[in-house]
Amino acid sequence: MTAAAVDIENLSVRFGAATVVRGVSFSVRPGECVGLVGESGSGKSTILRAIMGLEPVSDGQIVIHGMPPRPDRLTRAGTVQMVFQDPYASLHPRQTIGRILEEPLRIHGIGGREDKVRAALSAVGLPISFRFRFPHQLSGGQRQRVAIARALILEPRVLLLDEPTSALDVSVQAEVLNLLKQLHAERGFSMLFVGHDLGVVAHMCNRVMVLENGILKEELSQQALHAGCAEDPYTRKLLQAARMEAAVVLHVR
Amino acid sequence: MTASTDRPLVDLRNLTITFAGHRGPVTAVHDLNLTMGRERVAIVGESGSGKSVSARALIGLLPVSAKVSASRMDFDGIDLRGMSEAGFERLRGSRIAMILQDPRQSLNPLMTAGQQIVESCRLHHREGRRAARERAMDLLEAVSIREPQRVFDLYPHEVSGGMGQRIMIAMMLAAQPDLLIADEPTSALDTSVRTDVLEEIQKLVEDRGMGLLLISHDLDLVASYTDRVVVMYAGRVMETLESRHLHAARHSYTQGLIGCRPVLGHPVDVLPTLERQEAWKS
Amino acid sequence: MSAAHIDRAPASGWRGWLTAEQPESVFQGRAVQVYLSARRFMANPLAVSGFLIVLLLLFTAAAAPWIATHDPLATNLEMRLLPPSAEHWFGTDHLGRDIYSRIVHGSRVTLTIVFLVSILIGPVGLAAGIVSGYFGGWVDRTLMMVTDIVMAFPRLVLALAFVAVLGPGIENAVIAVALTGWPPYARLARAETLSFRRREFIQAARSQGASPLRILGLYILPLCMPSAIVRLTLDMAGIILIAAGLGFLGLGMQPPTAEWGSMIATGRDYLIDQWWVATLPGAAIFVTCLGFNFLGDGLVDVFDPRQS
Repeated sequence: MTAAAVDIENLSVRFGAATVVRGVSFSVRPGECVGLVGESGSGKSTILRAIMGLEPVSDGQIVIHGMPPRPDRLTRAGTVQMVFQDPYASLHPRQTIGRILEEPLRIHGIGGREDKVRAALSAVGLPISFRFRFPHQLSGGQRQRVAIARALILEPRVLLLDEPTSALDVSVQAEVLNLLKQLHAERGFSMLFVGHDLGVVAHMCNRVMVLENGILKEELSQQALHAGCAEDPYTRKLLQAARMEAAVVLHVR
Repeated sequence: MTASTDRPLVDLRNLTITFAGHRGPVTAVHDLNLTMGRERVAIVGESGSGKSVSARALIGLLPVSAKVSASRMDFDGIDLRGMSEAGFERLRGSRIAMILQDPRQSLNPLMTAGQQIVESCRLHHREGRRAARERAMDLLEAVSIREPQRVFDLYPHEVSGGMGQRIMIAMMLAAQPDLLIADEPTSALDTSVRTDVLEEIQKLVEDRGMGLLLISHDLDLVASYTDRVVVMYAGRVMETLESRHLHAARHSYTQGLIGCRPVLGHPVDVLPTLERQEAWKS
Repeated sequence: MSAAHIDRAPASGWRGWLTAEQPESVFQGRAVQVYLSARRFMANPLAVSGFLIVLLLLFTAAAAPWIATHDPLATNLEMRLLPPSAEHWFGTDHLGRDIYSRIVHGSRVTLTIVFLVSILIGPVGLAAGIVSGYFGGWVDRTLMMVTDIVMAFPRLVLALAFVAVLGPGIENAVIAVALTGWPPYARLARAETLSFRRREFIQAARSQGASPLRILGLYILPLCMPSAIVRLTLDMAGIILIAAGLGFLGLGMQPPTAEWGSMIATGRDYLIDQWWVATLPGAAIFVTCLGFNFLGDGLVDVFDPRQS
């Protein structure tokens, strides 16, 4: 049994008087994809941001394999990376795509940047010539591919995904999800996938954590999710809504 | 409602919309033809397909850089071509209502939900405060809000996305419009309420004999709530279908749009994706 | 609403290269941006006229010794208070000095003040604003308190007091104007930084391990620059007026150096009978301020982040 890639113990995040995450514990095994689901305000994105060091941890601890408990900026960035929800907001509007992809390499003082940028672009299925364009010249799906390329250019062991497709068209979502699955299979990093669409999460993840108001309600396997087996009443409610939607969608097909 | 059955509610012929780009005009919509009565029609396509732009042309909400031309552009017998902003203002709200993606951005943050609906009632019916309040309560009930009394006094930031969208719908219904345009009404909402909101819209439109123009990128989700689907790509109509015959879609673009969403209880390894063809653009 | 379909075949030659949707090098990418911005600017006739006025001012200042017809300091009491003529285009003042030449040389003083003030208040204001906005907390509270205090001072009165203490002169005038000039920039930059701080591209930069200094300098500063430049351009008129006001009160550039404000002050006594002595330097101030304002309005279009 190898050590967990991500091990979260009793994590709490408070913003002033509001507690957004309350004593959440779970772990992600190396190479696994774990989903975090819940409705808006459930604290699922906050957990990701806490892991990334973007929110202060009020209580509990986050241990990431191969990283000291209080990592410095660069160590953390080299180990964990994140893809954000809105591809229209996550790329600097005045930097070219090439510059955006080079940025992590510059920060970490890594050489051979030109080649790495080319490789990163082709890995996410974008033409090399895109490096001279600005974000506003790209479609939403293309921007999200750039964001994925940027997150992977430092070769992190853990990739955090914060609703990476919810701002995209369904047809483009399929392309991005396929790309993520393919990269995951090729490179074997671990993924923590936040989503609100159970269909998407069930498609991507081996296991799913269900959150409500910052509390971990239930853990479900991919099979249980597809089969709709849940104990917790809140999970059942979510599942039921998702199954209703599935019924609507499959009826059309 | 005075519906004349022989006259279509919306009649668009050769609707073409171009925007001034820095490399010359860019055509967003190409010769769109759409005739609809008091029925439910979905316009479906990916972003950039021209679906939103077409609907906005109908209520005069395009930016000034847009040029609209059509050989016919009628709403209930009224010619919309060259209509003044004042003319559109009279139509908007009272005869054509529009629901947008994010209710929290379309509601006035400084007024309670109830006040906003009351305002809308008073504006369109010139009725007293008390009557308008009662009507507002009825409307909140009509959109399946269980505690209208409580919700009446809530501010937009105090309600969830689904609730906000219901309030928005109630507000739009206050005017008893003939046509409801819903532009991606569910994409900013949690999944658990998406079908509820669509259900609600469909029910109300049916009960009140209104026309519905539903705009979405999500073909297999919205199709069930409409009678007909217009599939658009790059500003052109690829195909128009009866919703119940969607599985028999012939156009490869339509086929591509169906089935690209991962569905619970229906595991697949790789999601089908669209091969977009240059030929569709002409 | 994205462009769905481009009707026209790609333009060829230089124009094609400059409007390419798919640039082939970083240089071309930048060039396309510059070209499109320039086109937006050129589409605004007021902006272009503002630009031309400012250009004229720069040229006048640079070429002053050559385009002036007389020595701006040479007095000739026999020729005093002459109306505009072929010999003295703008007439002469009470000491018989050529007003045209004095206005031409005065543009140097004006430009020096404008230049010195903008390199002082722009950076100071921007730095205070982005640091305050990005870090928040006590840093923000302290910096904003200082800003509020400085903003509460009446600008011209403080400038007067300052010059009164340090003694008249252009350097002190500049310091006085700059000292009270930076707070609006700090406010502006802070407000913009606050709106960017939570944006995902800043979060992404933090995730990559970028240091706060890097984020401020490479991510936030470039985004705050445009509005600061626009603001600075629009503020120029106010700065020129304050400098002229100090000159008028005899607290700016000291005689006999030609300065527009003090030229108006000397013309005050002859306003009715020899109108040109005060009016023409006044017109120079007016046109220059107008030029900067038009230019500023035009720059708003250029920096508009919505790439139409």
